[in-house]
Amino acid sequence: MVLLVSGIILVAMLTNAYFQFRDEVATMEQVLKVRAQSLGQMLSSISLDALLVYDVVSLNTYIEYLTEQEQVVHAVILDTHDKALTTFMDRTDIYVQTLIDTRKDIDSASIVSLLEQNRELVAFRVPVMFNDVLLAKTVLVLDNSEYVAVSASKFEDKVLVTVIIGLFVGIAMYFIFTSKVLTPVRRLSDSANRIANYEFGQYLEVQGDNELTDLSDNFNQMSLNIESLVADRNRALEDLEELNHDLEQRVQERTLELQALNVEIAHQAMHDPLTDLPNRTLLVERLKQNIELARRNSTRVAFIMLDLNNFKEVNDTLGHPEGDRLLQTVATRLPSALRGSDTVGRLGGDEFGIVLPDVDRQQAVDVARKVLVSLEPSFELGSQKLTIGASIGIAIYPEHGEDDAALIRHADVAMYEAKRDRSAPRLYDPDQDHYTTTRLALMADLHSAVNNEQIKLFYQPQVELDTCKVHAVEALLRWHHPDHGDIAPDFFIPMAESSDLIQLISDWVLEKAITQIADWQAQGVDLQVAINLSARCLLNKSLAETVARLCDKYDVSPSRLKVEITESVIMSHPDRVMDILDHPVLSTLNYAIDDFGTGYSSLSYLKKLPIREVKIDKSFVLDMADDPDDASIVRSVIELAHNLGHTVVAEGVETRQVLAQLIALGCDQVQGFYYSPAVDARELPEVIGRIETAVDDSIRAAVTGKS
Amino acid sequence: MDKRQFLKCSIGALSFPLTQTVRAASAKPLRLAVFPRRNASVTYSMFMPFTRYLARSLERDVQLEIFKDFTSFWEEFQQKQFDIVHFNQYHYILARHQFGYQAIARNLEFGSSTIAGSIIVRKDSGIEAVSDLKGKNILFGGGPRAMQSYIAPVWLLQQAGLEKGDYTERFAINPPNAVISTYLRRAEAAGTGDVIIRLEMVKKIIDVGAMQYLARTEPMAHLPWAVNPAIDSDLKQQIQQAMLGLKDTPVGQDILDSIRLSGLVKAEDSDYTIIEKMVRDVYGDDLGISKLG
Repeated sequence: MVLLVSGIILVAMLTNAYFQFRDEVATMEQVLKVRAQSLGQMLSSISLDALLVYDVVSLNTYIEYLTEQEQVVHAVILDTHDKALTTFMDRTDIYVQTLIDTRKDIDSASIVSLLEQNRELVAFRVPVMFNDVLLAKTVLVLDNSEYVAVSASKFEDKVLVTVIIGLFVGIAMYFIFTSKVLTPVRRLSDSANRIANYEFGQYLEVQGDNELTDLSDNFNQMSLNIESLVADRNRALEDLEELNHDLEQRVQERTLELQALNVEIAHQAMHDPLTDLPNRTLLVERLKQNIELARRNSTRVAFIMLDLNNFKEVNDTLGHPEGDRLLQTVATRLPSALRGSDTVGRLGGDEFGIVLPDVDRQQAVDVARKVLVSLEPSFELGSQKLTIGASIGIAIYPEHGEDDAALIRHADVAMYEAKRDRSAPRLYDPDQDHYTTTRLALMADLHSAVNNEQIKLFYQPQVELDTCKVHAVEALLRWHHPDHGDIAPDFFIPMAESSDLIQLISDWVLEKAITQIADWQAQGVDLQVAINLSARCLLNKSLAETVARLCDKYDVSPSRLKVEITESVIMSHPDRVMDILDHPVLSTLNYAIDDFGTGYSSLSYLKKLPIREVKIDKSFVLDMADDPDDASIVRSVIELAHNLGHTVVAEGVETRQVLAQLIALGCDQVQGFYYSPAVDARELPEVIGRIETAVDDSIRAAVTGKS
Repeated sequence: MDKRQFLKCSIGALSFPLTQTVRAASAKPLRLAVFPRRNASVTYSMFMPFTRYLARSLERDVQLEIFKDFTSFWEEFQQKQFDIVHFNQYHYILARHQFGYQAIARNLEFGSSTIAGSIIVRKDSGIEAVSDLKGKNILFGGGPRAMQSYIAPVWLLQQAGLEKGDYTERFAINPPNAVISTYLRRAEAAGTGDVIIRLEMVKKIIDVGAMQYLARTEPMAHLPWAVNPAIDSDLKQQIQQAMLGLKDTPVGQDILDSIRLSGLVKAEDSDYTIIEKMVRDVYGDDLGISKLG
């Protein structure tokens, strides 16, 4: 670097000296030229007279004089044909003498051209004019070499001085640069190397007050910062290592957890999350395996399908959490009735399946009974104690089916038979298989039944005991399956409630009832129609809009409609029911508490409800003539209701005896087969007429006596 | 020079003019005129010692008269008719005829008291005869009154049948330059005295070996010294003696060296008869007086 700078300075100075030398030479040449011209002009001017008088001697004298001047090598006067007019040649001049010695007969004119070939010599020509006519020309040959040599010598001196100065400057710069720049920079570099090798703690000290000092201060600061950063980095690395270690541990833990989770997932994939029993998939798989085993071993396999009775009511009454607890409790009890080789699983909802390998019919039935026995103890759900029964259907491989699907289906059929009859476990009987389709197929049939008007509303009159008049009817669903005939509402309505069909059916019932009211009004018959809405439909926020729209559409007053809400629904959703009853549209409807006595009503709540009709569940009415407890319950309900200012309707009146009792108890209205089953709307007017005219004297007396 | 010598010289120097003055106080100074063969300053420096010599010899003042050119010389001569005059041959002849001057001595140059006129050319000029100069440039070393440098060469040309107009006349400032210029080819021939190419100054300047005489006249009497006819015979004789006696003494030799002569020899008017004929041939019987003035 120093050498480079010194070299640059040297080159600059030498270049400057060279250009100076060149300028000097040029100046000297110019001076020479001027001098030559002046000498030439002088010679020309003084030669004129001599030329005119052929005074060669004088001309020679002039020439001789000129050649004595400095730098003048030779001079001659030439005529217009470049012939010499003078003869003088300065033999003391080395150039001239050399030419004279080397060439014979050389004259002063030819010397000029020869001398001009010498680069060190320059010839200048000046005309000699006489009356504007060129008479002759004087030629001077001058030698600038001496001056050039002097200049060159000076240049050499300058070069020498320049080199010396350059060297001096270079050396000085070298020392200065070394001490002031290079050494500090080297120290900076060393320091940087140390920092690069993570060697901290040594700091630079650069004396002075210049940029290098600032640089070293900044460097030291940077070193401190880097040291700090490195320390932080090291700490961070340690932390990272620790974290890494933790992470690895966690990964291991998580891996184990994942493995466990996978096991869990695999377990959950095959098990019911609520009860932890094998789910349908696993149950079916077990069934298949056992069927295959039975096939190979020529043994039997029984599949039991179990359905809890009234589970829906429990769910609706106590809520789903309690319903789930019930299922969980059932799930814990069932295995107690089984062998180790048996598999119990939850099929879904309140249905359970049990695979019994290597059993016969009787053994299967025995197991089923044991299962029922296991369910007999009451279930404690919150503060409630419940007894839950179950319906069980049994299908045996191979006689009831040779594959899992057949066995399940047939067990299902048997279970539903048992449910319908509320009977003991039922073995599948192909002869009594009224429903060969699965419930899903039946559900599909039900959906199309709504659209195809297979479902109808039948109306059962509610007779006022005071007047023996019919002012209201209850609309009841009836389904006539084209293949299976009439299907009981107890069967298909729970199916509908398990899907969105119930909303479809409810909307259909609502519209049907309202249109029927409109039709009767058009016939001059003013009847209030009571409909049953499921809790799901009742609590649907679109109910008000639907009611308003339909009443408006058919021009029916909402007061002609009565909604029967079961006691259990009211108690399970009290606030929502209150909202419904306060709704501007829904509050214009009439309401009745249905199936009163089967739920767990809060009397203080009942008092608040703006419902003024209570319907006693038929389970209490049917046998009240023979069952004092039922009769007592009925009486209590009537009294309670009357005390609360409510109207009482008794359902399930099928005998005259019961009717008389109800009259005696002061029941307000009755409904039942005694008067009429639910009939088609077209038949109703006639039925009502018959009822109102056919009240016998004893009843009339009873009513009159009572009143 | 020591003090004593200086004192002697000074006294001598001072006493000489005093003596001369005394003498002069008794006689008119003699006027010595020298024709402008050379330029005035050279003529003066050459002839002052001679003038002083004459003064000493004659014991009377002698005044040297010099002239810048022939025209002024002849004009002053005609007016003043100097006592002692060094002429060229032509002017002597005119002076003799017009004023009766008498020749008393003539130059002895290069050991010869005669001189010839000549026409000189370069050897390589291709000019073999005088007649070859027809249409050429002839450079004369003197003007129309110069004997050797004009009249004699012209007479040679006439002898060759060339009259004026047959050639071009050029005039150099002096005979050596005519020869030098001819050498330098400024002219085809030079008309000048034959002694010129033997002059050292010419030899120094040119290669005289490259030159040759194309023609020469017969030797004729050299440049004369003549006296005014009014000079009495005694004085005339003294003057003559003084001139002729120069070669006899060292001092005289020095003086002769100064005036670049070998000596002075006796001359008479009859010595110039041939020259006069030559002049008449060139200029006619009036000797060119009407032409040249």
